[in-house]
Amino acid sequence: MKKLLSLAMVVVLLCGCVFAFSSCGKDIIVHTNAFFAPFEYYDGTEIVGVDVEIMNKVGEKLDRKVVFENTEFSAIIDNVEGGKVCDAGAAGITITDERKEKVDFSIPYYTSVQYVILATDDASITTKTKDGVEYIVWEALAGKAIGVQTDTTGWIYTDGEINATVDNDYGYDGVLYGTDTELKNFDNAQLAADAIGKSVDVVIIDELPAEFIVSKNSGLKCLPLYYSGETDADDAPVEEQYAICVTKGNTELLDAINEVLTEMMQEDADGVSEIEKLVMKHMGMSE
Amino acid sequence: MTNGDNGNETGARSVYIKDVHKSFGSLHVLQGVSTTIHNGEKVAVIGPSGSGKSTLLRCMNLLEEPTGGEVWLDDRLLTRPDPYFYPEVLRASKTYASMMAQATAATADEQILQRIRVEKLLRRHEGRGFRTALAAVEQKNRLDINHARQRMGMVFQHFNLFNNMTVLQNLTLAPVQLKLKTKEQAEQRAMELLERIGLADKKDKYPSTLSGGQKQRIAIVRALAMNPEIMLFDEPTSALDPEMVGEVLDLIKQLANEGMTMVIVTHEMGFAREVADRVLFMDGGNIAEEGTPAELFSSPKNARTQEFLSKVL
Amino acid sequence: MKFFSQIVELFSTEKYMDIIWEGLQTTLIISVLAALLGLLLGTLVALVTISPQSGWMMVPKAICKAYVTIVRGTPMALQLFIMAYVVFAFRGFPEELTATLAFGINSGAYVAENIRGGILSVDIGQTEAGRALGLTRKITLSRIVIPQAIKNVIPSIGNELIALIKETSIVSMIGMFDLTMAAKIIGSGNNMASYIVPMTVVALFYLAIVYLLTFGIKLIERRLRAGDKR
Repeated sequence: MKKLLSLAMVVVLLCGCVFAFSSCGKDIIVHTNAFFAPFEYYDGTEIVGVDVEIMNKVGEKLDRKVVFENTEFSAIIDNVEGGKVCDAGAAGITITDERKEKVDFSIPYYTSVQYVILATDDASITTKTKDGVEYIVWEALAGKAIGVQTDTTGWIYTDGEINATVDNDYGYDGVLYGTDTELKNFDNAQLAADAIGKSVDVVIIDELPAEFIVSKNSGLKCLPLYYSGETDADDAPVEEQYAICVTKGNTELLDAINEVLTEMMQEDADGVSEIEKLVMKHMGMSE
Repeated sequence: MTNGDNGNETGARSVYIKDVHKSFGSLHVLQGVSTTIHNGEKVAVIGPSGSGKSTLLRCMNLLEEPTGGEVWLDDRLLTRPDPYFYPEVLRASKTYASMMAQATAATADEQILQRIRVEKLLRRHEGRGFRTALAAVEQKNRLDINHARQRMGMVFQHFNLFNNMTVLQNLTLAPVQLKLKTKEQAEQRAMELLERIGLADKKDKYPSTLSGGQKQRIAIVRALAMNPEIMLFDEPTSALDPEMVGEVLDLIKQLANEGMTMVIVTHEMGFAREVADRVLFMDGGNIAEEGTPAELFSSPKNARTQEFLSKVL
Repeated sequence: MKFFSQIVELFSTEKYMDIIWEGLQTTLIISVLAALLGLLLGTLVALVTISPQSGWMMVPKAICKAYVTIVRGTPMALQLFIMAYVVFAFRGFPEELTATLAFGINSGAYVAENIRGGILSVDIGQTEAGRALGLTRKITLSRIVIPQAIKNVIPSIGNELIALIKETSIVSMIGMFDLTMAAKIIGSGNNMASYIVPMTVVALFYLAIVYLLTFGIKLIERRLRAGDKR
């Protein structure tokens, strides 16, 4: 019995080693969470999206195959940090100080703003308009049930604004502190959006996924989320920057990614970069 | 149905119980019981409940392992040897050595052995020499318990027929599995036995469909199918409805008449009186009194025996 | 009704059915392999646990006890996570194998307890009768006790297998493409963009698998019980 067990262990470990070495150094394994269109999403059984196209270019440059693996968004940073199961994370990941301590980030390739998804007929949330843009300020969400995708920046911001006191060291304003606002976590944004009008009132998620979801679901709309300033003129959107992360010290891969990103962010004659084109393509806006 | 298969002459020693102790935790159920069952003898064991009757019977085929003392089946040892019975083993112990080192008198050996025996001085670890000496005794005398049990049939209060097998399979399982008989031989023998008790037509039935009396008679012939030298009965009629007691007792009587050696733990005093050559009265983990049925039932000497018999007769 | 028309749409769209088929295969492979591993492991552990107390058996007995306690005392999702990201955190290690081992090891603990209970539920008199005839412990166990125990154990093993199949749905947590992930995929991205319909359809698939399994277990049970009344 003990012999059998140890034998099984050895077999399993050997298998593991064989697999470990067989793919060692060949493929670039990229972890993502393929529920974040247009950056990564499933088309049939394939993972596609802006991030996939970027990484494929990196693969071409290094002459290595790129393999995308789907996982929990929350696990990506840890997996990249460990470097045992993957080389890079590409999932529309926002640069934050906490994450920078664990992994190395590429140059930012996209600036996103946080959006609020809500029901088209929801009149309980006051909106403001400035320069022809309709938007929602944090204060308007007080007392609402807010749905987010766990570990996304939408979650981080909302959690910060609800739970941080006004005078804190973490960079949050604590706008919703003590307002009885509820935060609900979901596996992904689509699940959260499905819950609008049921267990949540609004969903906070990055701009493009928000627009993507709204385009696919009738009865929903989305508006940018702003921090309110001293006056209405000072109201400003909640901005953040996306980058691709690699295991600390993997400069070869990081340099290649930065090179590719620099190329792809070059604006063409019409003032549109390749990344912007990809975004439009995957949002279904091209042609 | 004789015990002649093994060629033992009547009157020779069959089972020998030597100073057997049995404890369950702090409960001392047998407190040093010794007795000899001779070939062809029928011994009834009676006594109040909790007196250790069943435990004594179950120690005979080691369904209960004695915590002290020895059980022998003719000249072979069934239990582990009890070191206190073997001077040469005791002399190899560390305890003996350290006591000997302090002794002066010439007769020290005998006195020390006596002290060790009486005061039970052996400890858990007595050294390698002790273990070797004990192992030598064991090697010389011990009989594998599974072989011993093949020669000792046992009948239980609750029959314990194998529920997952037909009557016929119940009777043939052990002889076939133990390679004593081929399947055909075992089945032929089983059918003879079933015909003898008039239950041949039940051979393909499962135990759950039989009456208590039928089950117990089948349990008896299941034991007989192994051609045992001795039969142990553990209250064979206690779990039966009154109208079924007779058929089971009749079968046991037949066996007795054929000369089978048997030990019967029973509450049926009339039966004990009629069948037994010798009756053991047990009380508080000891044999309080023994004798022929005539002696024990008519003129019991022990006060406890008198009290018990006055209640049950 | 939009809901029903969407269900029809899902079933009639080849792309979506391909996704479900892909997920179904993973779910079935993991379930079957983990069930086999669990039964094997569970039987071994149960036999070790019920074996008589003796010197050299102490170690395997202690190991088995610890195994059952730990596995039954911690959430399956965490066990899977640890397997995937700690124990088998090798690049390119097949995730089906990770999941099979995680679920097989988990299931083994429950199966072991079921089998142990089943064996203990067989009257001790059956063992004593076998041993009193001179049968060895092994024969008594294999010919008398285990056949009776199996009858008692089949329903609870069936329960365990059903629970196992449904529990495999958490492999989507480590990104595996099983039935539940199939629903998520169909519900997201460039596909149907609603979870309600694909989740319902996938639930029907789980229901169908469990129903078939239940049917199979009933058949086995009936065959075993037939022995009682013949």
